[in-house]
Amino acid sequence: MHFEIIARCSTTRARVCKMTLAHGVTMLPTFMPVATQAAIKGLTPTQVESLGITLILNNTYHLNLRPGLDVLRQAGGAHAFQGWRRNLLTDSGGFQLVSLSKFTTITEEGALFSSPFDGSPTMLTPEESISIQHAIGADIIMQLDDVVSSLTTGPRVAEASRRSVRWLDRCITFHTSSGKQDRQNLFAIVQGGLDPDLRDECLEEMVKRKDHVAGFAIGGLSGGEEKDVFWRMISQCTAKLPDDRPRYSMGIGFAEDLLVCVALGVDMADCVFPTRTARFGVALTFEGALNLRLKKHATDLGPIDPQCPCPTCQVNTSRAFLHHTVTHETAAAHALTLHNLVFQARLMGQARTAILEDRFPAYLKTFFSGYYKNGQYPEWCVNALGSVGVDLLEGLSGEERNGRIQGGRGAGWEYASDSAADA
Amino acid sequence: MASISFSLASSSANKSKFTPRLGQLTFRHGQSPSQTLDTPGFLATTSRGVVSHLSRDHLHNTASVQWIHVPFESFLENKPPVLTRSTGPNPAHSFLGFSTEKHLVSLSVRDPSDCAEIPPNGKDFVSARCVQGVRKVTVQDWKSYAAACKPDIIFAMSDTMISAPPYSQKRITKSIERSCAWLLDILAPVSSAPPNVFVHLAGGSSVPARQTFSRTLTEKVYGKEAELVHPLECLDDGVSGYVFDLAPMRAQIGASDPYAQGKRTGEAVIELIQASLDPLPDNKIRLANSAATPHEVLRLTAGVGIDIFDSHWAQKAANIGIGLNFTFPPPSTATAGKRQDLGLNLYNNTYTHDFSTLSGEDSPHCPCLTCSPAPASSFIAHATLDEPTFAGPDFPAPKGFSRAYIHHLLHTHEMSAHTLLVLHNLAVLDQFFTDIRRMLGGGDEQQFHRAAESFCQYYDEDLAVFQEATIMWDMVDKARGKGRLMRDKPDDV
Repeated sequence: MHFEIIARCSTTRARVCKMTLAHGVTMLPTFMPVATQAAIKGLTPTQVESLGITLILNNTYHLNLRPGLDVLRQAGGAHAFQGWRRNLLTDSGGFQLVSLSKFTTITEEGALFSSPFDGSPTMLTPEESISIQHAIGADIIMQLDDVVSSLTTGPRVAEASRRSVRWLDRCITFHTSSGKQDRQNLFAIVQGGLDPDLRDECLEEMVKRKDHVAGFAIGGLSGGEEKDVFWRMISQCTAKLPDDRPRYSMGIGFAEDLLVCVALGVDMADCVFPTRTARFGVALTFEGALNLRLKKHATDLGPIDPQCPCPTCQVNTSRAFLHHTVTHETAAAHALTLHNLVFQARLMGQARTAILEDRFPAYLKTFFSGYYKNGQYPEWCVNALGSVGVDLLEGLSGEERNGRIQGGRGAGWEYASDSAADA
Repeated sequence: MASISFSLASSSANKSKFTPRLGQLTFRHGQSPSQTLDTPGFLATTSRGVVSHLSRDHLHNTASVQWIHVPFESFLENKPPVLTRSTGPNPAHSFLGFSTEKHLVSLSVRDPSDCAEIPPNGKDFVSARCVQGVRKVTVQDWKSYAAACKPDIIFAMSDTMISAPPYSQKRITKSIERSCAWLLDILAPVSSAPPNVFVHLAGGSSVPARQTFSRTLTEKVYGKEAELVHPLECLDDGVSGYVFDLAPMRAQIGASDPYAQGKRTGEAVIELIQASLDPLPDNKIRLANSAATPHEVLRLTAGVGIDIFDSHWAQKAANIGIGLNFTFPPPSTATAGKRQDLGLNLYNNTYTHDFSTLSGEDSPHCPCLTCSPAPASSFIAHATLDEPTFAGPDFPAPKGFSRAYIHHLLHTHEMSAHTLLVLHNLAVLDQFFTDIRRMLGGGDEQQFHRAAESFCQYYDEDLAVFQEATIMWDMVDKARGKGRLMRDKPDDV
C-alpha cells in the first residue's frame, strides 16, 4: 500500500488521502459499499465501477461458506470470481460469528462455533481467518478480533480487548510469513468497548505494532450504544492513531455519522445501510431520506434529486414510477441502490473537495442545514463537531441554541429506520 | 407516438398465406432516426412496466430489445392510473424509461399470459387484475388511457374467455360481438383514434367462431357503424396487426399443460390461427403471445407465418435460474436417446466449479453483457481530485461471468443472478430469431422446415430442465433467513 496525505482541514481533523493498492487508487475519505456475497445486491461490477466507486467490501464469513475456498482459489480469488477490477476489502469473519451464530464460544485459540452446514463444532482461529482472506485475495484484510456487543459491560470487555491484541500478533505473524504483504494489507482493529481506559490500553498496544500493519480500524462501535459515547470513542481513537495510516470506522453508514467521523479524522467506513434501505424503498438525499413507499410520492413525476448524477436520476426516473415498482420489482431495488451508492459517494467526494479547498467546516454547515430541514440538529453531532472547532449553530444565543438541538437521530427521515447494523 | 409501417419481404409476398415469412417493421418517433425491426422477431414483456430484473441502463444497453409490451392492468390500483399522469409526446416511454430512439411500446389491458380465474367480463367492460384485486375497465376508460399514454401500439379490448371450457354457443357469440363492438369503439371516430390498433382475433377454440370474427372485420360496415368509423370501409381497415394470445387458447382447447402436451397443442393452435387468418389480408403483422418453447415458435413460424413472438418464456427461464444455450439449427441431427436441454439449470451443483461462460467456451461468441461485459464507458467523478482514481494501473478487460459465479448468486439468493440471466437469455433469443431469418432468407424453405424438424427432435420440449430448476428455485426461495445456510449441507459430496 502506498498512503499519502494530500490535504488537511485547518479546523477539524479531516484529511484527504490517496491510497494506492494493487487494484488502483482510492481517494479518502470514502464510503465502502458492502457486497456481502460477492455482489452489490442487484448490480453488476461494471455498474458499480461506473458510479465512481473504487473500493468495496466482501464478507469473509459468507464467502467461506459459499462459494467456499476451493471455488475461490480455482477462480483466482474474489476479484476474478465476481468480475471486480478495483480494490476490495474483506472483514475477518469475527463479527458475523457473533451476530449470526448463537452458539459461538470464544477461547484463546479462536472462535468455536457450530458449522451452519451440519452443526459440527468448527474453530475459526486468527491464522485461519487470515488464510481464508488470503484465498479471497482482497487488497485490505482485517485481523480476527474478539468482538463483543458494544452494550456488553464487565470483565468480558477487557478480556476481549486484550485478546484482540494477542490475536493481532498471531495475524501479523501468519500474514508476514505468507509473503503476501506486497498485495494484501493487514489492518488492526482497535477494541476496548466503551471504556476510555480500556480503549487507550488497546490503542497503545496496537499502535506499538504499527510497523506491521497497514492501517487501523475502530471496532466495537455502532452496535446500539449512545451516540454521545460513540463519537467520543471515535475521537479518542483518531486522536491517538498514527497519522500515516488509514483509519477505518466499521459499520458506519448514515450521512451525519459519516461526516462527523470524517471531521474527527476517519478515512474509511462501510455499512449495508444504503443498499439495504434501497431495497426497502428508501432513497437518500441531501434533504433527508425519502420513503418511496409512501402514498405522497405516488403521483410525483419528478426524479429523486434533479442534481444527482446517478443513472437513476439522470434518466429522470420519477418518484411515482419508483413508488409503483418498489418492493414489487427487483429493478426498483436496482434503481434505488444505484442512487443511494452515488449519494454516499457524493457525500464523501464533496467532503474531499471541501477539505482540499479548506472549506470543510462550511460544507458541514451546508450539509446539516439541508439535511435537517426543520433546523433541529442532533445534540451529539453539535457536540462532536464542536469538539473539533466547528460550531453548527454559530452566532446563536444560548436559548436559540437550545431550541435548535434535539436528542436522538433527529429529523431528515420520512420514517424511522430501526436498524443500520451490519450484516 | 411512433409512425409505424410493416412490409413483407418480396420473397415472402404473394406466397401461400400460411408459409413462414420475412418482414420488416419500420418505426420512428418524431425527429428520431427511423428504426427497423426484422421479423420473425420478438418483443420483451414487462411486469408493472418493467422488463424484469433490468435497470434502465441495462435495458438501454440490451440491443436485442426493440419492442416492449406493457400490460396496463398493474396500473389500475390507483385512479387515475399513474401511467396516465405522464405527459409529453411519448408519455408511456418517458414514465417507464424507454427510449424513443430505440423502443417501440405496445399496451394491452390484460397480461396475455395470465389465465388465472377472474370474474367474467361484462357487456361494456373487461375484468382486469391488479395487486388490490379485480378492476373493471370500460371501453371509455381504455380509450382515455390510450389517449393519455400514447403508446405506439394499442391492443383493442377483447372479450377473451378465460373460464374453463366448454363454452356455450351463446357465450362464444357474445365474445365475438363484444370484441367487435370494442374494436369499433376504439376506432371511432377515426380522427381521434390511436393510429396503430392491434386486434386480438377472437373466437376461442371454435373454428367457425374464429372464421366468423375475422369475416366480420372485413365486412363492409353500414349505417350508424359506418358513420362512426367513416372513412373506413370495414373495421379491418383500421387495424394494423393481429394478435393471438396462446395462453387462453391452450386453456380453451383444454390442454392446460403446454409442457406435457406441447406438440399436440401446437397443431391444434395452428388450425385455429389458420381459421382466423384465412379471411384476412396478408400484409398485416401477426403477433403471438406466450409461446412456451422455441419449438412452438418454429411451428407457428412454419405453419402460420407469425411475425412477432413475446419473450415471456425466455424471461421466465431467467427467473428460475435457467441460462439458455440452444442453437438453431441444432448442432447435429438427433441421435436416439435423451433429448438435449434448452439451457443450463444453474442451481445444479455441476456448475459449482464451472468457470466457463453461459455460452460455453467452444460456442460462438455471445454478445450479451453477461458473457461479454463491456468496461464502464464513463465514471462519475465525485471530487476534483478523483481523476487518478480512474486512471490507475492497467485494468484488465472484464471477463464473462462464469457459471460458477451465477450458481453462487442463485444459491445465495442474490438478485444479480437474474439480471445476468435475463441479459443472456434475451441475447440467445435474439440469435435464435436472427438464425431463423437467415435461413428463411436463403430461399430454400424446405431447408428451414427440415431444420425446424430436427430442432424439435434434438431439443427436449417437455422442459424437464425447467421443472427441475423450478423445484430448486423454490427450495432456495423458501430457505431464506438467517438459518438458511442449513440447506447448503452438501448431500452430494
